[in-house]
Amino acid sequence: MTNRQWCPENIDRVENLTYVPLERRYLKVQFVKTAMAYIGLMLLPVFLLFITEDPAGRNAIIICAESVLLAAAAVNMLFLPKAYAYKGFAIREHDITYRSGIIFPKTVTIPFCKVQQVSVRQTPVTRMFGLYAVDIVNGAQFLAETTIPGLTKEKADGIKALLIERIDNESK
Amino acid sequence: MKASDFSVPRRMSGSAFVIILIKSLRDYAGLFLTLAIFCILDSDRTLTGKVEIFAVLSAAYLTLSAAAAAVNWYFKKYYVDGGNLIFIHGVLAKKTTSIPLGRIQSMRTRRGFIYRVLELRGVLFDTLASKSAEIELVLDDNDWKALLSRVEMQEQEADEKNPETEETEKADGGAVRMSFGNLNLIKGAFCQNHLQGMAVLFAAFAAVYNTVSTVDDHAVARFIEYVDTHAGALSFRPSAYVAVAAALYLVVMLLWIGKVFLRYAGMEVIMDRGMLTFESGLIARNSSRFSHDKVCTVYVKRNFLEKRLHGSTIVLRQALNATDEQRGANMKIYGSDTAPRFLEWWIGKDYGCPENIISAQSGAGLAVHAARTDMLVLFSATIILCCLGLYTWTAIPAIWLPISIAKGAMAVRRGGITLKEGHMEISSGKFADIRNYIKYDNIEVVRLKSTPFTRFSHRVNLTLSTNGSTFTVRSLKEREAREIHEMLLFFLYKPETA
Repeated sequence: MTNRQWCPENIDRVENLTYVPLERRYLKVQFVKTAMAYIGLMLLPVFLLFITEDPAGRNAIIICAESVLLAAAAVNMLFLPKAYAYKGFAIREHDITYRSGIIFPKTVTIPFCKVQQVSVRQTPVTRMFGLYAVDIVNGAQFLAETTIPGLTKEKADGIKALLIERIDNESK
Repeated sequence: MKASDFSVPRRMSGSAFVIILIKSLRDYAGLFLTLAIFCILDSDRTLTGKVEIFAVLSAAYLTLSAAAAAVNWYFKKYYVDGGNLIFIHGVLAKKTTSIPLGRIQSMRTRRGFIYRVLELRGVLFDTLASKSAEIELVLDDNDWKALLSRVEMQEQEADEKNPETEETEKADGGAVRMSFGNLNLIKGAFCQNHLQGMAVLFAAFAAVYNTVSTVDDHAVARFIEYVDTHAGALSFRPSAYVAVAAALYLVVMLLWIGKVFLRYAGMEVIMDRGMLTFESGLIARNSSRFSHDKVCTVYVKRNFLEKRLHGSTIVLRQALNATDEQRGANMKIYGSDTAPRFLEWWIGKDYGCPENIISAQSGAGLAVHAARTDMLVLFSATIILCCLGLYTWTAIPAIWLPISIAKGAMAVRRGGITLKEGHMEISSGKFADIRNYIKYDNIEVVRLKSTPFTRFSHRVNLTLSTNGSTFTVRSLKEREAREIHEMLLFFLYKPETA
């Protein structure tokens, strides 16, 4: 490996950034979403009640499926606080970085000059908790959209305003 | 304040509702027709019952479509604020999307029959984002002209800020014309497609074997009897089988080469400072123009045959937006060894600079990734063969195993990333040597991804994406990957530093 000298002293490296955590309420949003997803999945085996005539086999299948789903839900819920704690974003002079994932931790950096669109959105669940998400769309073929969830209205609007301003300033 | 200056959030005109209603009716038509057909085919119902159900379904269809259209029309607003086109849409999931007017690449209009009757036009906006939301504004002529003038005004402001863009395009020297011989094309097509030819050949053999093995016992007995009778006349030598296989292979190859020949015969390239023009085709001549700025990756592939024959396959990948993506607009040059000329045109004279700023090699993780599918198939096949008692046939997975291992080892040997003056090279490939050349300012997004094994191996994956291509360099040393990640961003902001 070769390594020429350059001048990194004025740069805050991505690995040393202090990430802004998402709102605490976002953890509740995650719990509600996960619970809803698993409730939806747990309703599916119940349909066997209407289509299978063998009660013994049917009940065994339903109990097994529901138990597996319940266990999966419990494990998933256990991981949520850890996943939430790892999520965060950091803004530097020229880019925005979003960190997420616990099994496959990833750090995505989007230069301001490459941002094409910015959206602020709210879903029915996040509306219950007064939270917003910012979608940052760039021109890439992969990772074209990065979403920073769990933001208050002020923070979401602030990020959006900053990105829009930076797009103008950094356009090449 | 005039209504047409778009300074306050506004809905589309009332006539636009008709267009939205028609679209809504079209969207739900499939569901309605399916239910209607079920209702008509239901033999348990009387004719009156069927008519009643059909009437109820029709009423529900119309009500649902009208309600959806009303919601779509009422909750969709747009306006222009601070040089941004802003859409507010959605009822339950509410979304406000801001698109800087300067980022709008093209505005497509749609004028179908109903649009023309109502004197409207549908306007769709393209930015460089391939994942842009398909938001259509239905505008009347006055609104369309007003919006267009706002966008043009923004473009003029941008041009005044960056006058050098035009100068660059004007400062072109003499254009260079390059012609590619058809012999080169055949050579390149042969080098590229011989493996595909082999694959088709094996598939054909498999089909023949399958047919032979499924005929009944009587047919086999009759065949054996026939062969016994005419043994003298039918005793083919092994060379005859080889000849048949070779002939079949040649036919397949000819078909592949013919396909390439039709598309790329007589290729001519005019290399100007700001523009690259291609023209090719045997019967229909196709031409395409590449703006210097729109090229985002130059891909150069050399397999062992191409290396021997001094050729390569060059692909120029274009930056794509949502519309381009559907068209597919990359340019391929087969069999030529002119990659340095294209690279010099695109990157500049620095292309040949041998000095590396930083480089990193992929590790064993890439070998696992490259061979994982093979391993899975081999493992499953071996288990199935053993379960069926076909122990002799396990020789096939056993033969394929070293090939897979070699594939993984070669991938590791070739995989890596090198940052150079003004551009970077991403090397990949298993048996072929593939190099992707990318300029720093084409990078759109960079991602570092760890795996559950990172804590033991200290290796991570680095993904970077441009407007027209995406690359993941796997299993890089964590420290090197972080350094490269940082440098990529640094060179992106300050390309003159690189």
